[in-house]
Amino acid sequence: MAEVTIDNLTKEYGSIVATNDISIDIDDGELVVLVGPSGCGKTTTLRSIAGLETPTSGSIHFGDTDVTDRAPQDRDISMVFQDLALYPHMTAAENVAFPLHADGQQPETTVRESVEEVARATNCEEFLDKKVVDLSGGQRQRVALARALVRKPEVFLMDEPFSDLDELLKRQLRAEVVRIQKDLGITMVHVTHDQEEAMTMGDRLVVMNDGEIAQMGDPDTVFNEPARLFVATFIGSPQINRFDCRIAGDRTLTDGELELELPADAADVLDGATGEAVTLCIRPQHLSWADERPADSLAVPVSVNVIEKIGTEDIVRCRTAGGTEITGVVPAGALSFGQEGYLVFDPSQLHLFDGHDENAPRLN
Amino acid sequence: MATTDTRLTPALGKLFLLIYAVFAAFPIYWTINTALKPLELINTFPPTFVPTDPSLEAFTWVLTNSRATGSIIDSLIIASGTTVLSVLLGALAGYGFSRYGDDVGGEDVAFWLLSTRMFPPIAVVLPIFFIFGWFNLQDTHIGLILLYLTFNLPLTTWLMRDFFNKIPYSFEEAAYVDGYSPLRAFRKVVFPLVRPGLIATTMLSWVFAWNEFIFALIVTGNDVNPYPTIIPTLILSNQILWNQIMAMAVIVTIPPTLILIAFRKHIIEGMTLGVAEV
Amino acid sequence: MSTTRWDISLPVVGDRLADRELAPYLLVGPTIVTVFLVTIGPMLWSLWLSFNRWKPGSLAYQEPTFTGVDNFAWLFTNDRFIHSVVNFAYYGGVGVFIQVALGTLLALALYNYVENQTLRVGLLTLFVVPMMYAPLVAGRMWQLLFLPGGGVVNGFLGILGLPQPSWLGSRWLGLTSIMVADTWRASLSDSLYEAAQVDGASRWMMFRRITLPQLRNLIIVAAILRFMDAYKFFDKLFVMTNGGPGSTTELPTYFTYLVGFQNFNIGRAAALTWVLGLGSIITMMLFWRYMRTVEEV
Repeated sequence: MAEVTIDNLTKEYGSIVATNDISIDIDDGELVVLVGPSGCGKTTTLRSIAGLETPTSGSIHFGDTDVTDRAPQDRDISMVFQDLALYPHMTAAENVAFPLHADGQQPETTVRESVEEVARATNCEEFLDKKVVDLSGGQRQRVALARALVRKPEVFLMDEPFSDLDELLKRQLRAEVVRIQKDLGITMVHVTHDQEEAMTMGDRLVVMNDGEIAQMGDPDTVFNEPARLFVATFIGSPQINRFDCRIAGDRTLTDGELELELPADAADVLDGATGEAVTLCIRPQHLSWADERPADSLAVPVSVNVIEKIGTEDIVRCRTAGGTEITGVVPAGALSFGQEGYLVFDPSQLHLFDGHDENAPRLN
Repeated sequence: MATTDTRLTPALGKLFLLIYAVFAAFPIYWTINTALKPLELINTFPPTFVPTDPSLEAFTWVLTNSRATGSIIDSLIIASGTTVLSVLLGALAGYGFSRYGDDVGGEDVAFWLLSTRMFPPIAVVLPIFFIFGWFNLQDTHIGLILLYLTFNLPLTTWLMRDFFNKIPYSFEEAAYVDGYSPLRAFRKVVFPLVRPGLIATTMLSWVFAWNEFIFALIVTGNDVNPYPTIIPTLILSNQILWNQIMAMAVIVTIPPTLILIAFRKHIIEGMTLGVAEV
Repeated sequence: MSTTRWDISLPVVGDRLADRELAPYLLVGPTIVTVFLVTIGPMLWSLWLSFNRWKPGSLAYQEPTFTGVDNFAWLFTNDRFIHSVVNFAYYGGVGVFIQVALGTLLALALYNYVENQTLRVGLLTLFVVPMMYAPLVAGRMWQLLFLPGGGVVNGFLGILGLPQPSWLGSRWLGLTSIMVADTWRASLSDSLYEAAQVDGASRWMMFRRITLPQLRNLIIVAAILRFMDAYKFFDKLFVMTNGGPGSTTELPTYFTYLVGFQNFNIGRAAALTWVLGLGSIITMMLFWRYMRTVEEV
C-alpha cells in the first residue's frame, strides 16, 4: 500500500478541459471519495491515477515513484469499473483469478488459495463456479470486488460501481467495502456522484465541479463548513435553503421579498464581502418551527405546502407569502398541510457566501 | 367481424407461408432433379417430376472433367485467398475503428469505407481491367483475390467493427489495470469474445467471393476460370447441357449451404447490417 | 485457426503509452491504403477517362483523347441507354415494391403464425438457402424453369390447359421473369433478416401492434437497399436473356458491360459507370440521411 500524490493534474480533450490543475495528497490506508455532478472531472482524475488517461500536464506519484508515464499494467493498481467489466466467457472464480494470471508465473495452487481467501472476505464463495451471466447484480458486485482485491494492489480504485443497484443492496455493499478497506488498510479512491454515498464512505471527500476541486475535507467539515456555495448546495439532503441576497444595511440582507436581519456576530463577516451580492444558506435540519414569531431571532413567516414522510422526521416544504420555497425538517407529525407559522433560523448554522456564483467563497 | 378476422388471418398467413415454401423449395428440388436426369428427359412435356431412372452420370462428369474440377479449384483458391486477406485486414481495421474511431476520423470514415462497396462492380472493374493489364494481373489468381477485396474488405471491416463494438472497452481496460499487456489482454479477453463474429465474417466473406461472377468474367478466362465463368460455356452444338450445369450447381451450392446451416445465427446477424447483397 | 495471425499482427499496440498513439493508424492504415489502391484510385482514373474518347484497338482513338463532356452528351441522347434506364425504373420500382412487400409479409406470417420454434427456424433456413446460390447459377436454374418448350412452368400451364407464353422472349415478360428469379433468390434478405433479429413471437407481435412506425422504417430501409442492388444487376440478366430479345431487356450495368467489354469504348463506358455510380451514391445518401433521422427519433 502506498500514498498517492497528484500534482497539478490537467487533462484536456481538444478544447475541453476535463480537469484543471488538480492536486490531491492521499495518505496510506485512506479512503478518499471524489464526488461531484457528472462531467466534473472526477472520473478523469480516477482514470489518470489508473493510467487509462495520459495527463496533459502534471504528475502522479505512488509513494516516491513517479508513475505519470507508466502504462496501467505497470502501476500495481486495481479498479472496479462502473460496468464492472466482468468477463462473460469466464466463471466467477476465473474472473477473480484473472489478475493473478497476468504474469503467467503464479503456480495454480497459490492462485486457488488466493481466490478462496478473497472470496471469503467478500462473501462470494457460494457462487464462484457460476458463469457471470447467471449471477445477480449484487453477486456480480462482490465478484468484481474480489477480482480487484485479489492481487493486494498498492492503490484500489472504484468508479461508481454501485450506481445500478437498489438502495438496500447499495447500503450493504458500501458498509462492506469500508469494512474491508479498514481491515486490510487499503489506499482507496472512490468516485461517485451520490453525495450521500460520499458522506457515508469517505475518510475524506474531494468535492469537484467543472474540472476543479471545490473543497477537500472530512465529511463533517464539508457538511458543516462548505467552502463554496457549490459545495453547500451539492452536499446534504434535503438540499440546503438558499437566499440570493443584497446587503441592505449593517446587519440586513434582502432577497427582494424577505428582510433577513442577521445576528450581530454573524453580520460582522459582511465587511469582508467584495460587493453587494451575498448568498445566505441554511440547512433544513437547522430550521425549527414556531407558531408565533419568536423575539430576537431570525425567522420567516411561511405556510406548509408539502409534507414528505421519511419516518422519524417529516420534510416540510413551506412557502412564504411571496412564493419563496423554504424546506425544513421537523419531528414526524408535528405539522399539517396549510399550517401557518414561522421557520426559525439557528444563528450558529448560517452559511454566508460572497456572491451568487457557485464558486462564491465562504464568508464566515 | 373481429372474431372472423382473428380466425381467418392465421389460416391465410399459414397458407401464404406454405405457398412461398413451395416457391422457395421447388427450384432447389429441380436443381437436384435435373442433375439426376439424362439430357433427353430434361426438355420434355409433361415434365419428368420424378426421374424414373436417376443417374449420377452428370455428377461423374463434373468430378472427372478437368475444366470443371479445375474451375472449382480456382474458385476455392480465390475465395479462400481473398477471405484470408480481407478478414485479416478487416479485423485489424474493425478493431481500430471500434476502439480508436475518433482518432481516425470517426464514424464517417468507417461509413465512407462501407459506401465504396455500394458502387456498381462494373465501375470498379472497368479501370482495373487495364491496370491489371499493366501489372500482368489479368487471368491470375492473385489478381482476382485483390479485386475481390473491393467488396470484401469494406464488408469485413464494417462487420468486425460492429462485433468489436459489442465488447465494452472497459473489458480491456480492466485487463490492463490487472497487469495485462495490450497484446495479452486482447488474446485473453477480446479474442474469445469476438471469435463467433470473426467466424461469421470469415464465412460471409468466403461465400460472396465464391459466388462472384462479373469480375471473374472480365479479368479471367484462359488460365484461371472460377466456376461461375464455366457455367455459361457448358453448351454442346447449341444444346445447353442442363444436367451437367445442375450437377455443378448442386456441388458448388453445397459449401455455402452447409456454412449457412452451421453458422445461421451469426450469418443472419451479419446480413442484418444491410450489406448482404454483392 | 486465426489465433496465430492475431499474434503476429498485434505487437504494434505497444506497452508504453506513447506507442498507443500510433496504434490507430497502424490498425486502420492497411485497409484504407488497400481500398484506395483497389477502389478509389482506379475510380478516379476512370473519372478522368470519362472525359476522354478511348477505344483501344481502333485507329483513331488508340490512346485516350480529351473530348470534354462528349461521352455524357452521347449517353444521354442514346436511345439504348435510355431504354435500359426505363427498364431499370420498371425493375427497380415494381420489383422492389413486390420484393419488400413479400419479404415483410413473410416475416410477419413467420413470426406471428408459426409457434413451433423448430418449424420456424426450418422455414427461415429454407427461405435463405436460395441466397446461397450464386446469382448466375440461380439465373440458369430459372432459365430452365422458364424454357418455352419443355420448361416446368409451361409444363404446369400445359397440364392445366392454359396458354404457354414465351417467358423470356419479350421485353416486359422477360424483365418480370428475371424479377421472379431475383425474388426467389434475394427478396427476403433485408426485411426478413431485420425481423429475424426480433426473437420470439411475443416480441414481434408487440413490435407489430405498438410500433407500426418502426415497421414503416424497416420497409423503407429494405426498399432503398434493394434499389441499390438494382444498380448492380447483371448476373441473372447475363444468363437468362443476354439482354434480349434484341436489346429489349437490357439494364444499365449490362449496357455498360457491352459498351466497355464488347465494343471497347472505354471512355463512354467510364462515363456510364460514373452516372451509375452517382446514382447509387445519391440513393446511398438518401439511405444514410434516412437512417440518421430514424436514429434520432
